[in-house]
Amino acid sequence: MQIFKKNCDAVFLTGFILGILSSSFIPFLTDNPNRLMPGTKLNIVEISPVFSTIMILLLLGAFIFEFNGEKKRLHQLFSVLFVFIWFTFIIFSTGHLASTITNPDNPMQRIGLSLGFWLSLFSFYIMLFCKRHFLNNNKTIQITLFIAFFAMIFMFFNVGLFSDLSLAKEFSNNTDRFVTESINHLTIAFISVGWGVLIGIPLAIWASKSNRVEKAVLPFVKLVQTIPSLSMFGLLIPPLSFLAANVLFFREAGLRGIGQTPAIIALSLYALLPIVQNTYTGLKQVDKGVLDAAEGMGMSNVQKFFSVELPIAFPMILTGIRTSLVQITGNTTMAALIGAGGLGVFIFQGLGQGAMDLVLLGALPIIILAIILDSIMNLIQTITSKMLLLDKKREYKQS
Amino acid sequence: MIEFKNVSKRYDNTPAVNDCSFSIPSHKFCVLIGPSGCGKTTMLRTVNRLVIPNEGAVLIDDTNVADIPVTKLRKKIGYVIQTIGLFPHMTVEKNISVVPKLLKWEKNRISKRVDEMLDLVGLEPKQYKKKRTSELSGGEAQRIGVARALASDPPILLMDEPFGAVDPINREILQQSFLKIQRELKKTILFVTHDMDEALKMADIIAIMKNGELIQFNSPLEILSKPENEFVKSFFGTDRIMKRLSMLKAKDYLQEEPENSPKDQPKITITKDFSLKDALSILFEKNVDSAQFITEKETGFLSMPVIREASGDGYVE
Repeated sequence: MQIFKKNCDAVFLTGFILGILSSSFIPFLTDNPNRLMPGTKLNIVEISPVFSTIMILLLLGAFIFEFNGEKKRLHQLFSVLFVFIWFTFIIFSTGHLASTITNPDNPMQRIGLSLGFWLSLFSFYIMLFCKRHFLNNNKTIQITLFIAFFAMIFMFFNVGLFSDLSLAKEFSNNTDRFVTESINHLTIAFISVGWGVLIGIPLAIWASKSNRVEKAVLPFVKLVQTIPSLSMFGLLIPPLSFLAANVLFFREAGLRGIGQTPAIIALSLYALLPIVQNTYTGLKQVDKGVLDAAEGMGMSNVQKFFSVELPIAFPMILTGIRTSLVQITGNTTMAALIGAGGLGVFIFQGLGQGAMDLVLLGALPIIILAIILDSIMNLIQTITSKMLLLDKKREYKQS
Repeated sequence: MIEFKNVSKRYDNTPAVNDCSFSIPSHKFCVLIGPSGCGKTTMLRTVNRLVIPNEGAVLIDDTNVADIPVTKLRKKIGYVIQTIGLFPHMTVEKNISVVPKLLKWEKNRISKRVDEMLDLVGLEPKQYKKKRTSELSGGEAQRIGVARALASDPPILLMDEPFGAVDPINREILQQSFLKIQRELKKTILFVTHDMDEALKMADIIAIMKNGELIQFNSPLEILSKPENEFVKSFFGTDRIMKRLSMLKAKDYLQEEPENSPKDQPKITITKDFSLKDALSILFEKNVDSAQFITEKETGFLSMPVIREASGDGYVE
């Protein structure tokens, strides 16, 4: 117990225990007789004791290197390595074990993912989180591991390892629609955030310069955010239908009460708040002394704005766009309800049919999209703040 | 020359500056001093039109500042403030070259000027040029602030409590090095402070303000010996006489040996910066009425009555 007192990382331990549980007794897959009927839940020990043993041994490997009392680089590396191998093996097992319990005589059979699978994902995340310092300080190892990991997953996909999972079946049944709706989803989200940027930034600049505009704009964008998205779509139907029915210009422009246009209008309104709020705060936070100096040095208002205020507020504005983008990627789901398409289509269809795997087919890509967009924005932020010398520290090298 | 002519400024009918008139001769260091809220910063800001007076006018070399286009006016006036206001998204070099760039100087000329300015404020150009402003200490940042204000070689410099936020030791160093710069450059300077010691150390002329009114406008020595009223007197403290003595040099007051003076007077060797206050202290220490002081070049006598006379220019309370 001495070891634990000295080096106990309770968080890693939690991840480890969750990993052990999901690798053994927690139901990992469900075996359903058909798409809709609930079936039996199976844990890994039941399906393959050998696989379960291998997983637990891999986790124990990580455990030993993590808790052996020494924090050497090599030990850390092995600990991380075992965690990665374990998780790759989990992914492999998911597909492989699904195949072993597949009954070729029942084409209606569906093998779904159960609690254990999601828990193992969570456990992997927790253990990686504990090792984030090590990974961030050893970029080569970090990049190599992730590339190897994704290469393996890609290979599994290519050899059809997951084809017996119901998620894959839903996917292969809906491949064409999946591609169209994904593109739809991204298009709606990007156009909405685009409008949010085009309207929000000038609005926020105006608000930061004029008290009266500020009093009108900020409460408005906050109010918009409180309207539930479903009712917002509903509220937009009557006025838009009216415009489409009575004004030739709008009718010819393709405006209707339902479809993509009202979805984009509503989502653009939602996109406003983070952008307006961040741009406004960013501009207002520029140090008074800096502005006084800029003015006193003889900059015109335009020069002051473009060479002082905007660059200083820029990282904050980017944060607003980033928040908005992630939020709207999620919100676009609701657009499916008014016939605008997007990945929400699968979610609502799945909910209607009680087919959880179809729901997942919509939900998982949305989560992944949001994470990818967030990372891209994060990268852009890092680069721009380095260029602007703001926020992130840059080491000064003496010449 | 900067001339204030009956300048008044009100904010919502509360007067900040009330009918102030004085003029600062070219190449002089004028310190504007007074308690907080006395309108000294408002006065300073009327010069570069950051504040527009309600009445009266500010003239630079006989031209009303209101008649000069505002950005053109400001580019000719260096401006240093307490919070410094360095641009955080620019390197030291970029900060210093802001005004030259606004004036569309050539690249080479700007880069040469940046080096000169850093040298002038005592910072190694190679080492500091590429630094970020967040890497500077308070004293260094204020030096860069001064360098930035002087970059386009403006004839006038406005300084609003420039050393107010710096710790006492660094403030002393900054004051000394800025005085050195001023002796070299001979700018017309308007300098706002509420630190009286700073005013006495730096100023050629002091303008004392209270409640928006100009109370006294004179050289430090004159103000110390002839304070206009109780306010000025109390503002300079009870050791006002001592302050004046400390600003006078002993070597300027050396006398011939007085008649029938005692034979065994102490002989003290002094430097050229030895003040009357130091001399007085020696007299007290030796418990004598007069003593012989010897500098490198001359020798002479100082006695209590001589010092007393110097202390007040005849002013007796």
